Amino acid sequence: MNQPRQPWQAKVGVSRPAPAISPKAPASPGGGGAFSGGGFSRQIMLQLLAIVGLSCALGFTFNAASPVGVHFGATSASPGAVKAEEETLTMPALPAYKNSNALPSPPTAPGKLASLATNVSLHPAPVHWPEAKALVAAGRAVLVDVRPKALFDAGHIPGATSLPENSPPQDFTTFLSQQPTNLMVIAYCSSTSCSLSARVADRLVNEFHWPVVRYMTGGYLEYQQAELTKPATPPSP
Amino acid sequence: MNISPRRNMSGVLRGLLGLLLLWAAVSKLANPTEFLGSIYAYELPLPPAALQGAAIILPWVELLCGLLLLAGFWTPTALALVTGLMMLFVAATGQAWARGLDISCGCFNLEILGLPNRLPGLVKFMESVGFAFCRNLLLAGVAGYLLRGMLRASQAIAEE
Repeated sequence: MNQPRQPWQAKVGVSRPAPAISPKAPASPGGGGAFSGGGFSRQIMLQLLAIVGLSCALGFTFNAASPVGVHFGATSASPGAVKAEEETLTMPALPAYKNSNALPSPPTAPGKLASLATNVSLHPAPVHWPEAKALVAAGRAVLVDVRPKALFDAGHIPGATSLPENSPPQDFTTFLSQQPTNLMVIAYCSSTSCSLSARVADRLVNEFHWPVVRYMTGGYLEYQQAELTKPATPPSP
Repeated sequence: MNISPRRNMSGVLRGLLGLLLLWAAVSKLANPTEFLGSIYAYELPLPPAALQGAAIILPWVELLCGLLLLAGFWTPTALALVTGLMMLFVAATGQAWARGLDISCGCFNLEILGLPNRLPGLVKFMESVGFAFCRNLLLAGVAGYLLRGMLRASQAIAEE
């Protein structure tokens, strides 16, 4: 054959024998001749099926093995369907007063939080999961998941409250009215590449005038990597 | 062997397309939950299970197509799949853009380039659905162009 080969033909032709193509078309390494005679040949369809099938197999296998995978089958009707069992988290549950109108003071020094509020009043400070976890465990902070509700339902940090970024203002007001004013609100979204938490934190401070607000920079991914990849351990006393 | 500039360009385009697909796939595989969130944000009229399945499978389709394009193996099939995939993305981003949804396209992880800290405005623009729509349209065009070139070459060989 005098016709110069395409680059892709040359590459494939060296390392792999020509596959069987359409009966009417001459064999062409790499499957180039598979298009001869018009539309997709059976060979191409088989290759498409192979790629899609392999993608499905790899995708579901990887997802099942990955601690940060998607919980397949989670719907809005099954909240908290995080992929790994939430019981593996060693963090204690939030205090019972989180969503109650009868609000005792959180076990912390209000003066200290008030002074913190002056420091973060205009630009909420970032926080990482270990610190956020300690604050929540001490009853000094509440976690707010600002991702879309469907994503919250697919998996969230235990004890967090869903308050999507696009919620109407009255939802924010209602939520904040249920919190002690010296309780820190920590907003989180998906990961470091998500800016929703910072935006909501800004709104909480500047629009709703909440005194103590921070945002978790690593988001839900940071929590997953920190908590769901660890072996389950009994809660420390 | 005399390789024309056009064939050279096709090879470069194919390599770039493959690398882009690999980048997109790795970005999504590194944080599947965030990718699922991005899909949810498009507010597509599909059941959650379908969207979750897409979040699980799509990155791997991109990864395999990227590898196939770089390796030069099953190239026409990979190009056909990429063209279809890009048209799907064009439809998704187009409807989001038309509806005025202010969402992140969820296509690439720009942190690899260190852009979020240096140029947050540029990142927001690059993640907007309007930009994603134009980019997907361009990529669909590139994949279609490469596919058409291969079709023609294949037919020329067959006719000889």
